[in-house]
Amino acid sequence: MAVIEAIATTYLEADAASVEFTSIPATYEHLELRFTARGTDTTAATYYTSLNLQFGTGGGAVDTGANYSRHYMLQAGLVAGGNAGINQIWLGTIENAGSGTGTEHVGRYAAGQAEILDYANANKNTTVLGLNGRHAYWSPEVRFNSGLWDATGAVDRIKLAPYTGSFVRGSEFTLYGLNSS
Amino acid sequence: MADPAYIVDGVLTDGEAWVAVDSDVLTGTATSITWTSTDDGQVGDWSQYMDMVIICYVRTDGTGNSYVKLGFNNLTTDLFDTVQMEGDGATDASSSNTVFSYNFIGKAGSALTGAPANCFAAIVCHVMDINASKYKNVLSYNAVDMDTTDADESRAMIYSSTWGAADATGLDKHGPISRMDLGIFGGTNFVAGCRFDLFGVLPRMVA
Repeated sequence: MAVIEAIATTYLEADAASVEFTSIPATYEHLELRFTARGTDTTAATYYTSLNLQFGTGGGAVDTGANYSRHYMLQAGLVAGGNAGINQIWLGTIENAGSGTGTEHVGRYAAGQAEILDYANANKNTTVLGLNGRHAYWSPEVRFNSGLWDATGAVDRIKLAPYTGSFVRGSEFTLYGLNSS
Repeated sequence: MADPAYIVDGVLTDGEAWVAVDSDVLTGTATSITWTSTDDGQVGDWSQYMDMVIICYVRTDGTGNSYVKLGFNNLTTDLFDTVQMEGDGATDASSSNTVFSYNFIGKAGSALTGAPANCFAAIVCHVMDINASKYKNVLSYNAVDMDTTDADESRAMIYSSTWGAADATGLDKHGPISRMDLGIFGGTNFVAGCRFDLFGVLPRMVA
C-alpha cells in the first residue's frame, strides 16, 4: 500500500466558480490539498481574493453554515500581521485578474498546500493547516493558515471557491490521501 | 506467472504519489547540490510530475549569511519576487523583494563561535506546477535553532517566491523546470552529514 496516494486532480480547462472533490474515501488517515490558482475578478484594485474551503459529510452537500473559523499569520509586502475570522476556512489568497493585464500578470497563480488531519474521524472536529504564497505584481504575500470545521462528521466532500469571482482556466487542485501502516 | 507487485489479488493498486527522485548525503563538504531531470521517461524524468518537494537537513561551515538558495535550470540571470516571514526569537525579521537575485528557501545551521557543532537546519520546500506555462511558485518552511548563543542565526521561517527572467517591465515567466541547484548565499560549503532529498509529486487525472 502506498503511503501517499493521489485521489484526484482537477486542472481547469475553463473558468469555474468552484471545484469539488466528492465521495472521498474514508480509508486514509489524513488528506493533503495542493493547488495553484488564480481568480477572474477584474474589479479595479482587487488584485487578490481569498480561497474558501467548505466540508461535507454523509454524502450530502457541503456545510454552508457559520460552522467554520480560521486564523492566519502573514507577511504581505513589508508588513507582518495576522488575523482571525469565522464562517469560512481560508486556504490563503489567490491572484485576481484585477491585478493587471499583460504578460507580467496573467501567468501569476498563487500556490498552496494544506493538510486536513484525521478527516474521517466522526468524533473530532476537523482541523486544517497550510501554507500559501501569492505574488501579484504589486503585493506579494506568504501565509501560514489554520482552520476549523466545528462539526464531527467524517469529511467526504470538499468544496473550494474564490471569495469573489471564479477560478481561471489553468488553476489546478490535487487531493492526496495519506495512509498509516 | 506471478503478478507484478502493483497487482494485488487481481486489482491494480495505486502507486506512491510522492516518488523518491534523488537523494544526497554528504560525506565531505560541497559548495552545491545539483539535480537534473533525466528526460528519459523513467522515475528521474521530471516532466511527469505536478510538483517537486525538497526536504533537506543542512549546515554550513561558514559563520554567517547562511541562507540556502535554490536556483533553476542553471540560469545565472534568473530572478525572483520573494516574500518571507522570519522570527529569530526576539524580532520579526520579515522582508519582501521584487526581481531579487536570490531565492532563499531557508537558513542552514552555521559555524558561529559558541554554537554547537551538530546543529543542522530543517527545510521543507515545495516547487509548484513545475511543467506549466505559469510563473513557477516556491513555498517553504524552515527551522534552525543554533542554541541561545546566537539568536541572529536562529530562525523559524515561512517563505514564498515566484521565478522569472528579467524583461523590460519586471519578470517574464520561464518554461518547465529541469534542473535545480542548492547552495549557500555566502558562498561557503555544506558540511558532511547534510542530507538532501528530492520527491516528485504525481497528479491523478480522473475525469
